[in-house]
Amino acid sequence: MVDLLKAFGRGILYVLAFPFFIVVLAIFAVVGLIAFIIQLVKSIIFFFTGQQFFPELPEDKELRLLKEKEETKNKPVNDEPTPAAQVQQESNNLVFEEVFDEPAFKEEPAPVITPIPTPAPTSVEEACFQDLNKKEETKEEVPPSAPIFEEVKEEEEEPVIEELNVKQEEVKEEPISPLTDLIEEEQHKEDPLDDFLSALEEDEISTPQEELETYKPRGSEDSFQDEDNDDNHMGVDINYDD
Amino acid sequence: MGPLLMLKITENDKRVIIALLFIIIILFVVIGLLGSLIIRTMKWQGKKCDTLVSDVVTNHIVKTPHQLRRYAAKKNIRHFIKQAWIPIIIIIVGVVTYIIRNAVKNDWAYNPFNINDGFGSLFFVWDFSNIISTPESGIGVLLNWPTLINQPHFEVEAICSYVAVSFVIVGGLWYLVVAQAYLARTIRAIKLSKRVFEKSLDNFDQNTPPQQPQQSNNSPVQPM
Repeated sequence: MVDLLKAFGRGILYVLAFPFFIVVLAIFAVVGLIAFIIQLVKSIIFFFTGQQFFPELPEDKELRLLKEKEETKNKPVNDEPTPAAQVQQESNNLVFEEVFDEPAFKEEPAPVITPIPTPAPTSVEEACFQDLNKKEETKEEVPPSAPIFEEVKEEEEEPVIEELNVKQEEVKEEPISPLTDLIEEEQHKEDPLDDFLSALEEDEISTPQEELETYKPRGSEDSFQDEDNDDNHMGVDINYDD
Repeated sequence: MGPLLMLKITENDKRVIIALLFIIIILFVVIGLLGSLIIRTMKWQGKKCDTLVSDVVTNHIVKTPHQLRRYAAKKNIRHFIKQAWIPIIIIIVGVVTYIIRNAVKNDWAYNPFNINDGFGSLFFVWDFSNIISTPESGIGVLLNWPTLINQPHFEVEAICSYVAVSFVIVGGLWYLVVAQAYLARTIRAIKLSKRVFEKSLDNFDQNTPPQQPQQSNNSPVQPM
């Protein structure tokens, strides 16, 4: 009942104050509308001058500078973890998560493979031609050593030739085997036919050509060779001129 | 005279007066509850002002109530503009629709609330003009129930008025709520500027010695 009476009293007060509230609200609405229009004009100017829509207030700027100072004071030296340490930390976190998520009957948890973070490409060209650029970079590193490579080639080829020559000389200087001695002796042996011919030359003995000729059957290898070589007796005479 | 007048009131008249008083009380209670609801809403909206100015106050960049009020006014108006651009655009769309309709039809005397081809075609409309007759005695007599002159129906030609009126009403209410929040933040900033820098001597006694700073528990114990 008391609350009802309080609400009743408030109702009377609010009824009396409501017109004033409406007036104040209208004033604020109009002031806000005017501020909005002014800000709209300002924003057009700011857009063409390259400034922010709402420029930073001096108090906000002072606060920002103060916070930056505090950050630089509180920032410890060499406190930033290395990328490798970050990867290790991430992998550790992943291991813990998976171990806790897995059921209890699994004795050995599955090995966790954490991908090594690679820097994301900033453009499509970089994403497509990154490898090619890398190759070109490696190629560009080579040129200072290119002439050396050619020199090395020449130097390498020369010893090969020398080695071959050395091998040939070694082959030449090899000692003669006993078999070759026998062959040479046989070659150097005096032929009885040569001896006979030499004797004939010495005695100036003239012998008819017919007596010296030996019979050779037609079709043998020697006669065939002779017929080929001799144009007069080549083939069979089919004209029977004689 | 007074008791005589009271004696003239019949039982029916007493019942009517009691019923009227009861209705008035209920009406004021409802108004009081609605006012309390509006005040609570405004307190909730005013809390945003704390968020806007707290960093500057806690870091002692603002040192006087006047500075705080100035800074809070700037932040409030910026926040108001950020909140108000949507309802303002909605209102502009409604008004532009109305202007385009009038320009196309060349009818600048068009009432968007009329019941034939306006927003009024969506509502029930009764004619109360001929239900009461006033004879020479001056007492009105209820002759008949009001006649229904319009039932809700959709009118194709009234589409522009539907869009214009609905957009203006929605945008206007939204804008009023935003303006109310702006008012609430301003009131809150004035209260804060008085309270934050307030210095009280309620618990101060000049005869008591100043308190020594307490030693920490980790301090080493000195040998006796």
